[in-house]
Order: sequence, then structure tokens, then C-alpha cells
Amino acid sequence: MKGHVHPISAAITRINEIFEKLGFEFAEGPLIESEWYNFDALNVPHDHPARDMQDTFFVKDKEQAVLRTHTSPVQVRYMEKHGAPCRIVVPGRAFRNEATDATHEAQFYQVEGLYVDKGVSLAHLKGTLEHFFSEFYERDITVRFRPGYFPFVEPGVEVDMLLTKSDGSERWVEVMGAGMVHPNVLRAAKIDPEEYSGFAFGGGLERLIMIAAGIDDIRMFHTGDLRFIHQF
Amino acid sequence: MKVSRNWLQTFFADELPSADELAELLTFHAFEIEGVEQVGDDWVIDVDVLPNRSSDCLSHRGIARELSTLLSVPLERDPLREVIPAFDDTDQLGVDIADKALCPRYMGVMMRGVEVGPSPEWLKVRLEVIGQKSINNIVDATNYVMFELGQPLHAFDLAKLGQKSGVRSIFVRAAEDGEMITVLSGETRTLSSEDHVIADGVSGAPLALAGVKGGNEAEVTADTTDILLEAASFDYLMVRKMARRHKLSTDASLRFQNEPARQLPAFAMRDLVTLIKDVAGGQYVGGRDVYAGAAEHTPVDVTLGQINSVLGVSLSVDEVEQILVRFEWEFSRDGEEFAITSPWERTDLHEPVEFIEEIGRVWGYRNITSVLPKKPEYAPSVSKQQYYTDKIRRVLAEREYDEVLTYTLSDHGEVELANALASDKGFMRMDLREGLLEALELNTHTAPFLGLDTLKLFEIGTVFRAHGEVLHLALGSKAVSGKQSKADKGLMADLATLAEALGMEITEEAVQDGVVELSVDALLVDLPEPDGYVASSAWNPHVRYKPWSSYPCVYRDIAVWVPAETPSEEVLAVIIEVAPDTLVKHYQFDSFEKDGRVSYAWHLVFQSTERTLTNEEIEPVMTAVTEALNSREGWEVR
Repeated sequence: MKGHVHPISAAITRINEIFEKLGFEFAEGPLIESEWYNFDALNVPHDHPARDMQDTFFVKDKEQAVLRTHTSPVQVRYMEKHGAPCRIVVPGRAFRNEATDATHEAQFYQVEGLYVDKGVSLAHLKGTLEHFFSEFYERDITVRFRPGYFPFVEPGVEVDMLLTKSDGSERWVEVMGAGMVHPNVLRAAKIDPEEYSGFAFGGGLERLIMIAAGIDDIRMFHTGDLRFIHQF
Repeated sequence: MKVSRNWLQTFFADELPSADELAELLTFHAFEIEGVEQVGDDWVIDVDVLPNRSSDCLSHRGIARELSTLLSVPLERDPLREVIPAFDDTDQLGVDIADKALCPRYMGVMMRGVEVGPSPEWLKVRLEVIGQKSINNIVDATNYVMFELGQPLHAFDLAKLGQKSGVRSIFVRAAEDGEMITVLSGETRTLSSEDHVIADGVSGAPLALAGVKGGNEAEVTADTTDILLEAASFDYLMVRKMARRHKLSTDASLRFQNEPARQLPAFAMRDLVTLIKDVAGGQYVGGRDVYAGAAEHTPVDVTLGQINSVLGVSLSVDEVEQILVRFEWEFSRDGEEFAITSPWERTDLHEPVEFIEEIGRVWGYRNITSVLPKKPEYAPSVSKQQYYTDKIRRVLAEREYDEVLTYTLSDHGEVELANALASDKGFMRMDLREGLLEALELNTHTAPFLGLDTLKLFEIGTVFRAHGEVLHLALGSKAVSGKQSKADKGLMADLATLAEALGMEITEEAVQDGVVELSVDALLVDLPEPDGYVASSAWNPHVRYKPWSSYPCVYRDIAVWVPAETPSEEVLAVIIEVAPDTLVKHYQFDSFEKDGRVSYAWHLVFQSTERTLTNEEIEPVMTAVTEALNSREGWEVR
């Protein structure tokens, strides 16, 4: 009998495969982030109400250090280093200081994507996400956008995915936040927003797996219980 | 924010669509909807107004304005486009502001001879439908106008303010360290110089926490006849910090921290005075309006090319123009270039792309056709970390290791959190060992269920040391039955296999408590750059997760002699056929041939989803299984 790779690792490997074929590079960044990369560079100024949207862990005795609340800081880090054009996919761990329940964990995984080039549009975002979900779930997936607000994108959208249940009924489920990279984020990374535009998306990785496998409790992923891991 | 359909209807001449239709329209073009609920003869739509629109849409007028654009139906009444009557200055009131940057506008208005009492039914209903308690006609009027226009308002009992030469006055100032205020909800707060108060300019007493909550010093009561009304603008940061410091998140602080326009107080005051006259009588005396002014909105240039390029659509210049007309925004057009000026209450619109978003959402994101970007000419570089961690996973899985991901938050470590969620989660883990040991311990109990006599686990994850983050690998092995020394030896052999697969030496200290841990970052330094990823079949989107029963299991082993040519599947099929559904797992653990016969052996796991199984009820099951096996020609249960 062979051992079992954790479903999160398996999903990350698969996500990387799908995006690599689209020319996206696997990127990563530190889990302890500066407030600059986690917030300010992402167009969330200090003490802005938008910071309330994410409950943040702060590191003791270290100025301006937080546990990253999302994988988005890697956007700015990568763009600073490599400039435009660029395409990256960033699966990784993030943290939120919120009470744990079946759908919330203080630690979780996100998958982030960024594509900056000349003439990138929301239509490319939609096409990329439909392709990704269809490959990932191995069936045709339709995606729709609703208006959403995330300070680091403009326009910002909520991404829903159409799921068909075994009885043939359909329902839309919210899976990600996304949008066009806000000009202030490009500026923070020293990229000229007059010349380049880009899309970014990010969402919970566990949720993508939970939808596929019908898992009802996010806490399953981190208990180390082999009765869970052996099912994958 | 809870929004009443009947209230929204007052802004329109024609009957609005149903609440569900409005909710759907808002969902796809403006905001997320938390719920739609019928309340009496009204419908309440709970709109999730996010920070970017909290300056204008935490109000019925704001939502009505949105609907007007989305439905393409002009507002029949728009309080923000109606004239403001001339403001009457009065010598009976003075207003002083210590720091105009923190309070760019303070409008105070006096009314005399009001009759405090219950609100008329219509007003009570309006507030109660959206979940607000009716208090009295004066307080209700301030709340009503706030929920109508988004401007927080306050009423003080004028007689409770000190007088000097017949003049009452307001002083907006920083609080003194140690100054106390009792707010309307009854709690007393001790203030510091970081706080700001609305104070009585004569007596010096604090009357309210600026922009957050009123105090009980000048509370409007049944005996009140003369009132001072406040409509002001405060610095968002000041209000936000005060609300947080004093844990007073109020309807006022929520709005002020999102900076409603500075023009708004004048419109709100106009409507408040009118409403109070209507529901409580009294006379308008006049007041003071200390106002630093507001920046004028200047035109922002947006081209058709930009709009289509960002949205990925092909709108015509006329289609864009029609959308701008629906917004009723001021704009000029020169060929395919628009110069758009946002209305004064839209403090959120500055950049071209913000206008493009407005156009896009009204047009409708569902009209966007998917386009897959072309592949770039260059191949993306291969991540060394991802390549090698994947390789380690493959090698270890081959060696029967299961991967776990344990908690990063720990009860000790070198990196501490300033605001831990719980006392046992106040640090970042400094190694993987402890999490892995816990997982080994936990799975000692699941091993028989899973048919494992030795647990083999690994984790690849970040650990946090004072000097920084390091990616580690930990392997652990635990003998559930049998000797631990054998498990330890196996572990070292597996580590050697891993080293060989990676083509390098791994020199690690000996196994400790069945666990060995090493730095992946250190390994990566010496490993060559990879050329390309290896395809993996680990991900399977078709797996359906099955929860397991929390009732205890009953374990039995069975071994059977059968003729040598009999496949084990045939034997197993007989066992499964005879056994009840409570046989949840079976693991073949043995097979050997002797004298023309073969012996197969299985672990059998029985478990119910409804109750605890007893040994007594499994005995007859095993007897039946044994009998069924023995009844076959040449088969013999050992």
C-alpha cells in the first residue's frame, strides 16, 4: 500500500500544473509579512476601514509585522523583483484572527493568481478562471462575476461557479474574489498603470477541495487524522 | 444595512419591482445581499454595503439612487438635489472648533418649543421595520434622517447647556486625560487626550463623544422643550480610533469612518428641522455653521478605448453615454473621450478605472465573454522548492508515508503573537516535530481502523525561528504493534532512500522519539536547478469524502486455507456477502503457500454509525462467516 499525499498538497501540485501550461510561474513569499506588503502596498492604507475586512494577527515585539492575511502580498513582492509582464500562481498558507468553526480556520490556504501585461482585461480573467476550474474539476465549469470590493482591485468582482449536483439541479457557489489590479498596487510595485494592466484572483484552497469532495468541515484538513487523509 | 422597500418606494413615482427582484438587481450590479425578509406590509433587503460605498450608500437615498441607475428610472424625489434654504445665523449660539482638520464642519441649529413624545405611527414603523427601536419623536427624527440620507445627527437638550449673557455655545475639543463621560447607553468612559468631545462651551462639560455617541449630560427627555441639533463632519480616522478604543461601534461611527461628503450636513439639517416641526412642533431659531469647505470634484478623463480594454467588452460610445445618463452624472464628450464629474456625494470616485468599474457593473459583468490569454513566448521558470518538495512527497508516498499538515500556531516558540486567539495558540511553531508527534499519537487510535501496524507520517512546512522562516521536513514512524526500534530503523532506511532519490547525502542526527527533522531549505542549496515539473496523479477531483462513525470499532482477524489456485478476491467476496453492513473495513495482512494450499488472512473492522457494537453481537457474525467459508470444498478456517 502506498502512502497518501495530503489533498492540499495534491491540489497545489495540480493547480501549478494547470497554470504552468498557461505560462504562470509558481511564486511564494514569507508568512510573516510587513504591514506594507500585506496592506499598504495593496491599497489598504493604515487605519482604513477596509483593514477591518480581515482580522489580523500581529507579531509581538516586531514593528509592523503581521501573519499574512492573504497570499496577495506576493503580488507586489514578485512585481517589484521581476517587473511586467508577469504571470504567477501563488498557493500558500495565510492566517486570520477569527473564531474557528466548520467554515473558518485561523490558518488556511489560499490560491492567488496574477497576470500583468499590456491589454489584460476582465474577459481574460473570466477565461482563465473557467479554464482553471474546468481543468481542476475535470468537467466544464461556468463562471460568473458579481460586483465586489477588495481594495487591491478595481473593478473588483466576486467569482461564482456553477455546480451541477448529481440529481441534475444547479447552484451557484461563491469561490473567489478577483478583479483588475488597482493602479495603486501597480504603482507600489513601480509598474506604470498607463502602460500595463493586470488581473488578480484569490480564494480559499480548502474550499475548492471541499466543493469537489463534499467535505463539510474545514478543520478536517489540519487535524492530522489519517481517516481523512486516507480517503484521498 | 437593512433597507425598506416601502421607504425606497417614496423616491419613485412608479411601483418598484418586488423586493426579490430588487435584491437580484443589486446582487448583479451593485452589492451583495445578505437576505430578503417580509416585515408586516413591507419587505426588508439586507444590503452588504462595503467600505468603498459606505460614504453614500448607508442610506435609503443612496440605495434608491443605485436603483434609479440600474432600473433606468429617474428619481421622483432626490433630497440631495433639492435646494437648501438660506441658513439663519443666530447670536444665541456659538460654535468653536479647536482643530478644524478633525472637525471640518459643525452645524448647530436651535429649535424652541418642541413637544417631546411618542413618534407618529408612520415614523415608528419606518424605523422598526429596519430593526431600530423607536425612542421619542426627536431622537427618532434624527435616526430617520440618518437612515434616509446617511448623515449621523444628534439632538441635545438646550436647557441643559450653560449660558453666558444669554448665549449657549458648543466647543469641539480634545478630551482631557482622565475626563469622564457617561454615554446614552449608560456606560461611563474615561477619556484621554486622544479622544475628542463635543463640549458645552460655557460649563466645559463633555456632551458627546465626537462622531461616536451622545452623552447623558444633555439628553433629550420628556421635559425637554428647546433643542440643539447637530450635523457635522469629522475626520474618519479620529472617529475610527475612538470607536475602537471605547468599543462603541455605532451607526454614527460606522458612517463617519467612511467619510460622507462635507456637503451632506446641510441637506440633513434641512430635512431634520422640517421633520421635527412636523412630528414635535417647535420653532426654528437658527444656528451656526462652521465649515471649512469641501474640495470641488473635477472632471476625470476616460476614453472608450480604456473602458473596453479594462472590461474586455466592445461597448459603443453611445452605449457608454447612455450609462452615464442613467447615473445622471455631469459629463462632456469629445469623440470617444469622456470627461466625467462625479456628484458631490460620491467621495469614492477619483481614478479613471473607478469610473470604468461603475460603467462595467451597470452594463453587467455577465455580458463579458471569456477569453483565454495567449501563452507567452517564454516558458515560466520552474520553482526549485515546489519541484523538490513534490519529489520528496512522491518518494515518501512510495515508501508508505502519509502526509499530514499540522497547526502552525503553538503554545510556545521563538516568535510570539501580540493578539493570540487562544492561550495555547500564542506562538508560531519552531519545529514540525511536536505537531508530528501529536499526529502519531492521535493515529495510534486510528491505525487498527486503517489496518496499519506501523504509522509512517511526514510533514513539509514552515517553522519560525527568531532569525526567520525555514522550510522543514519531518518524518515520523511509530510502531502500533511490534517494536519501536524496528520502526526507528525503518525510518533511517527510508531517509537513506530519500537521500538517494535526491542524489545527495542527508546527514541527520539520530531518530528522536520516532521522529527525524531536517531543513529543506538547506537541502535545496545543494540540489541542482530542475528543468521541468514531473506530472502527478495525486489530485483526484472525483473523490467523495465519507465521514466516519464516532462509535468504537470491533476488530477481528480471520485466516483461511484454500486450494492454491483460489484467488484471495474470491474468499473475500464470501466474507463480505455473509457479514452485515457494519463490516466497514477489511485488510489482507497475510498470504503464504504450503503443501498445495494457500493461507489468506484479513483484519476485519466492524463499526456502526448509530451505536456501540458489542463483542457479543459480533460473535455470531464471525461464526456465520466461518461456517460459510468452511462449507466450500477444500476451504478451511484456521
